[in-house]
Amino acid sequence: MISKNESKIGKKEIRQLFWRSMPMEASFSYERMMSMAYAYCMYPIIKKLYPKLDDQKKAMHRHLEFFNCTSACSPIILGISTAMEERNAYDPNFDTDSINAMKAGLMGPLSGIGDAIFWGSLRIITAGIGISLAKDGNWLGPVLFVLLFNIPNYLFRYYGVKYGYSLGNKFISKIDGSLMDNITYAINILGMAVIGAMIASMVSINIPITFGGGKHPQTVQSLLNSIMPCLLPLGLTFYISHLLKKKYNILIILLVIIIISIFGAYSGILAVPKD
Amino acid sequence: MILQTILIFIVSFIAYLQDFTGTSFIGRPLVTGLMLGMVFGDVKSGVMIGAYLEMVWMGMMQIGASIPPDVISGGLLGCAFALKMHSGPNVALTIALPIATIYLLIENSFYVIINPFLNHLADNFVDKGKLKTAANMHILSSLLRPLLSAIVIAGAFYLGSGAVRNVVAIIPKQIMDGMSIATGLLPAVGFAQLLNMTYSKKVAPFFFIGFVLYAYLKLDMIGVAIIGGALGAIMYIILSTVQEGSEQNGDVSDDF
Repeated sequence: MISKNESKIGKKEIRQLFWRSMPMEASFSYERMMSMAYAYCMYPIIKKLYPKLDDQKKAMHRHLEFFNCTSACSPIILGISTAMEERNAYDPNFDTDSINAMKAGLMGPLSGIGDAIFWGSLRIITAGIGISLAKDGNWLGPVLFVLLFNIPNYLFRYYGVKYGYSLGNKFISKIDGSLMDNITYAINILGMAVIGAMIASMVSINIPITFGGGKHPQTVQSLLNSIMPCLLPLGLTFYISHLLKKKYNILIILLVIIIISIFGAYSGILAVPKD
Repeated sequence: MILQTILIFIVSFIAYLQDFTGTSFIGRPLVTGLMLGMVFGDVKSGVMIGAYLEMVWMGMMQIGASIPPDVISGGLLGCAFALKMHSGPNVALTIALPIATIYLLIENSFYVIINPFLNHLADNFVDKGKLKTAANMHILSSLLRPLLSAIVIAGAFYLGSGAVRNVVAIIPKQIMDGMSIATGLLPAVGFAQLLNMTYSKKVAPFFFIGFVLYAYLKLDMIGVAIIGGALGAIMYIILSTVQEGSEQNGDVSDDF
């Protein structure tokens, strides 16, 4: 167990995480979504915890993996992963896979809650207040909107890091040995279930080609869906995973996907997915 | 005109810092309307147009990976042209909507091409041991988008609304659709990488349970996480009971 005095993570590091988490959404990409932002946030922590460059590299790669979460909720996960990295730095038997499994397990549900709170409720309420003043030309409308939205937004971020770190720390320090293995396994299960669901919900392919004449022409999409819904997203993900294991260059895979998309749009084989 | 263009560049840059400042919504039309009103010396009209555009976009949400017409560029150019022509919110909207739709092409080129590229640069820098440079790829990416977006928007303002519409008409619909299609396919690459790190036979069944929960039952993420968590807890209980049992019985169990 890491006592408070020994810990390398103090108030300064928590504050640093908070500030670094601000541009969480600013480097978004469709490939790994917020991975660059996450690695950027974790960089000072990693530097502080691991004396060896090799461990630092491994940790950076860990956090350059896929991550996507409502911006305001990400600090909670950052806090927990900081506690886990800290544990890993002390405990050679720590299973590092559990760090990404924890991230994968939490990002989905926290996004669900975060989108509902920040995008669905707080934004609508504060914009409503702002608009009611602004529609008569009152400049206080926009000003109030920015303040009313961002004060809770920033507070939630700051306490998110703090709470996430102490939660992670408390949870991890209580457990040892084989118990840890079982808990890691349980976290992995949660992570896997969420990743499975995310592939079905976030990867989308739409093939609108019809075949069979008559009154009820069938599309390829509906045929595939009748075999199994989301069959194509699952197949594509496994196929790319297979290609990556064979050491295919990932930039070429990305490029090919973009070319196929544009070719698909021209030929009508692929259509914009509808939700 | 030059001065206005420069000021619009600055306002656009600030607006696109929205994601840099903690997803603070300073790029929403309600806010940019006020800033543009100050640029054109007509705060009242700017705020009113902003409020109107905000109402139009209010319901369009960015949920998960699906992104609606770009509200920042639409709000900025719609409002700027309307203020310049001394016209009302209706004109702003008719300019804003097509621009916002086309602008997704530029927006997506960041999300589909530029940022994945920077992400891979970051991977390479980590391999070379240049961790700080790798981390700062994020800052480069975060500031590149506001900068390029502000140049495009100020440029579009300078060219005028007529020219913008002509340019918009030239871009083939298929290219735009192609980029939208790519936004649906690319997450597969990210998930594939994640799977290569975490997938194993021991957890494979739970992966498929999660998949089926969404694919067949359309359960939301919180629901999937609760079931995933419960399954994890069940496995945890089973494993610890089994281990406890074998520890207590010791050699005895071997005799059976």
